[in-house]
Amino acid sequence: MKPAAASPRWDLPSAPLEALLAKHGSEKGSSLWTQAWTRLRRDRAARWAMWFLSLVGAISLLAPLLPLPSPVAMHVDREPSAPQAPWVAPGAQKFERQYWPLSALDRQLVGLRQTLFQEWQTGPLLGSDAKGRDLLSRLVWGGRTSLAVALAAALTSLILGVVYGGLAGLLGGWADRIMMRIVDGLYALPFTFVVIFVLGLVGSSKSVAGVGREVVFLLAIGALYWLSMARVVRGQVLSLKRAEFVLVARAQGAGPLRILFTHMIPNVLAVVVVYLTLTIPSVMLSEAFLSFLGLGIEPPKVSWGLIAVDAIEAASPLRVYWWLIVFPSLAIGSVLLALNVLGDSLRDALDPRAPGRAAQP
Amino acid sequence: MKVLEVKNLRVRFDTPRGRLQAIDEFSLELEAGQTVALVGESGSGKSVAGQAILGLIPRPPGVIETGEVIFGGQNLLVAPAEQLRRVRGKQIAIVFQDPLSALHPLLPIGLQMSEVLEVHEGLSRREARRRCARALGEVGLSDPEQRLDAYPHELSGGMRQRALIAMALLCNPKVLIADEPTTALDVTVQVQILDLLRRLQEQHGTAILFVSHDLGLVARIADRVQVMYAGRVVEVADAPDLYRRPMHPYTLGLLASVPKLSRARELRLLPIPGAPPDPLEPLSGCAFAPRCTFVQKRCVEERPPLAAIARNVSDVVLVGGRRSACFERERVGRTVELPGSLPAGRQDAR
Amino acid sequence: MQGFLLRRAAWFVLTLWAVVTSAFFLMRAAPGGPFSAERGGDPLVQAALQARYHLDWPIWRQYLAYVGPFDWSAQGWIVGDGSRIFGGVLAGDLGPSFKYRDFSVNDVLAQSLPVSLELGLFALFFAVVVGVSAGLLCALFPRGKLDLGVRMLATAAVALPNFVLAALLILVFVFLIPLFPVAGWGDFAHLVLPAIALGTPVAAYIARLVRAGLFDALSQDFVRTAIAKGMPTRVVVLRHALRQGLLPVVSYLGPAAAGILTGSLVIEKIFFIPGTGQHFVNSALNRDYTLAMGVTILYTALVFALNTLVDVIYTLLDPRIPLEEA
Repeated sequence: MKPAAASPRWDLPSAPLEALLAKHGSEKGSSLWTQAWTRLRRDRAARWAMWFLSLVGAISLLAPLLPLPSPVAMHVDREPSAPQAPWVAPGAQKFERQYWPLSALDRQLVGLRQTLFQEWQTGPLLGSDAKGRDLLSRLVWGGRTSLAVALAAALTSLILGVVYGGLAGLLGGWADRIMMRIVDGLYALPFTFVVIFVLGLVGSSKSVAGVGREVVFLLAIGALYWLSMARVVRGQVLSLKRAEFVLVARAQGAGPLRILFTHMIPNVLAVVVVYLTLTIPSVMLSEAFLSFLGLGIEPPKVSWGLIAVDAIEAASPLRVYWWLIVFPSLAIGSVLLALNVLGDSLRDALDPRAPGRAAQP
Repeated sequence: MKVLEVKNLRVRFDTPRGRLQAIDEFSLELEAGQTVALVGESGSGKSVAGQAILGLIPRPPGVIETGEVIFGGQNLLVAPAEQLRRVRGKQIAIVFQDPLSALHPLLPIGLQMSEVLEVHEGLSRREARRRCARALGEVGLSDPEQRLDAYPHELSGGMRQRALIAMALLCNPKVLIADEPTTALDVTVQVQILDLLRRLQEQHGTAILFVSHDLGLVARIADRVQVMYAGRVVEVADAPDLYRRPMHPYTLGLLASVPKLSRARELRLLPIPGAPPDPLEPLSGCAFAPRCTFVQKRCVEERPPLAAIARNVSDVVLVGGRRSACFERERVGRTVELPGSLPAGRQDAR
Repeated sequence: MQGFLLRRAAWFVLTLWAVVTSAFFLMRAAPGGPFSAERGGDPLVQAALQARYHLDWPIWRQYLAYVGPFDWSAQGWIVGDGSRIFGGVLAGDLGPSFKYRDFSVNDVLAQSLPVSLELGLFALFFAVVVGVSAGLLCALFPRGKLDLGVRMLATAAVALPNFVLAALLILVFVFLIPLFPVAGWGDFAHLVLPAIALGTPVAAYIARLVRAGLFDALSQDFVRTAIAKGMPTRVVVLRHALRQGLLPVVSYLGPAAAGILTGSLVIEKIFFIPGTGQHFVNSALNRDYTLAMGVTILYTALVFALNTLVDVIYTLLDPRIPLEEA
């Protein structure tokens, strides 16, 4: 064993303390978020997931700008054509500007695309479906819709859950008990059936009680998942209320608002972020599911659920249109997988109880 | 007759924060029917030593660096898995600290006990049950037949520990390792368990390795005591000798810090200043030096070996082997003689 | 135990009543009715149909007549095949189907429920067997190639929607390698692909649960005790660790069954299986009030019964949990 360094550790009782301070005093403490970020960066799977999702997100945002064929233009006389590599079918000047009613911004973007690319559009890189619509374009636009709906619905469940759960946790006492009883009761019901019921009732009417049909759809999906969020947030708030560092803060004279913002919110936020990342894939699944049943997004608008419907309806034992099933599966599967991986990694990264990480006062 | 011998055991743990030397140069000799106590505070390595004997240290992150555990003519540390399995529970048994977590919460006590007999002695369930009921009666549980069908959470702490002891002794093992068996129990129950262990030892001739931090308890049961500090053995002596005349500053400090009712008015409690060293930082010199009141320059530079004590130290008659890891042991030994340190009713020499 | 079951039954009745009432009024509140789709016929036909099914009655009267034999007039509802008076839900009669005019809801359900049950149970069985085995293998050989492979498969299976999985299965096992029939119902071959599609996401989740549960169980003190007693590995894993590690799976069985029920809506559609799933969706779209209500009642009852069963099983397995807490 090497002899100890120069510090006289055997002198006075305080010497060990001074030695320790000399050695460790220059280290900086790090917050929960910086720790989590470092950890996340080192996780290879999470890195891949983040890059992939960023790519998907960028493509979705820029969809109107991309020189893709129309996702809506039908050519029913043609059979579904197989995918063709870019060098075989390098695209053509055949752009047909057909869409469902687009927002003003999207229309401008499409206009910009026409200025950039004239009438050129990509060839059937992923093939076309039974109605002659280009699959690549439908996947890109469909992804845009699905992701948008998923984000909006997830945010809905987030807001509902955080408000309800936070309130229940903060109020405590009988208010909390009643609120949680309601949640427990709703939890027991298979909510999906309620949602299907409601959506079926709304049917094909354009609006219900002044609210647009799609908004109802969004709210319905959001309503599916707020229960878990509410429970989790309430649990977190309850445990934080009693946490030692809150007591310390109060003993130091911090007012309730300060406690809420500087101490509680950051800790609740961690849990909320993880839950959000794990909720989005579930929401996407539900959207696809409901659209598949004909209760969600309606043609001519396209979403991944509807693409799956087309694929299955076109399935026949005579001609195997494998691209209609494989590419949508890859698209849906990879995005959902990436989201799940990211969510799991986030949860591990933000967990203050894992070894080597300190709780966060 | 030596029944278990440990030679120079070194165990370390490789953790994300560094290498932790849990025990260093640990040796032990256990004779049939004898009780040896392993005393030390938390982190001294006493539990690790006890569990290492049966190969219960999780291998990552634990690493057995060197050493031998000689039992029945073989070294248990390198014995094939199947042989080790046959020794465990049958020839060497261990009783753990917290009986509630040591027992399976979902299985009735009877099943947890009878499986030992079914596996090791090939008994049928019914025969095993009868033996188990008898064993439960032996440890002082009323209604043993009923208890067999009880679940651990339905018994009190003391009853659970008695059941664990009964379970350990089912196959009449030669050695019983008691790893802080009373720490999780009430004070009144602690003494009962101790007396139970002593009675069973007399009946079955089991050798006991008693691991504890409580010097008071150890005094009631141990024939020999090994004091551990920072993973090393610092003093070995027969119990009466240790309590009357400690020859290591740490032992001295421990004894002085234990409150005794009989001397409450005479002595103040003397805690040992400072704290044990960080196990992640290897030390040169004596591990206790930073806190020692007898410390000399030599103590910091050189590590004192656990050396036998020459027979011509003062006028104390030494019985059996006595060792101390301190350069200043004679000075320590001359400092204090603690009269009447052992509880009444104990034999001073065996 | 009796007290527990009685209390559960009371909750069940209460829940059912709440569901029936809210569904009833929700349906009537929505625009359109079951017979507004009868365009092509003249308004007289519509009116006649409405009268026949008493949709012209005040709503509270319809409600009472639906719930039980509380209709005092001699008219009552005639059940679809004209054979008898409608007795109300309390009498176990779910009424005539508005869409399938010659059938009562009870008939429709009686035909379709066994099909869905068979599919669902088989899917659940598949999920449990595959999930537990996979999780067990992973926990026994942790961090090896098998563990990594299973975990990746499990994550993928949970991520993929079950209808996408169904489509892929059809592509591979019906078209490319013609092993199974594509659709319909009849013998075992028709059961395999739908059950796999339904059960795989559940199996994946169960595998994760078992893996985590076993890891946790294997690190517990009682496992250390079992090893210290010299128990062979087989006993330690199967008797000690597995019993503790499977507890989360038992809790999950309730939501798992509900998930399979939900998933069956889509799977039955894809594989053209004549179960209750299709009826549920179509009845809501067709405003077939009684059928929709009937299926809703059925599903609520099923889920409730399943959850109660799971609670009872859990308390039987874990003696520390008293029944009231379940």
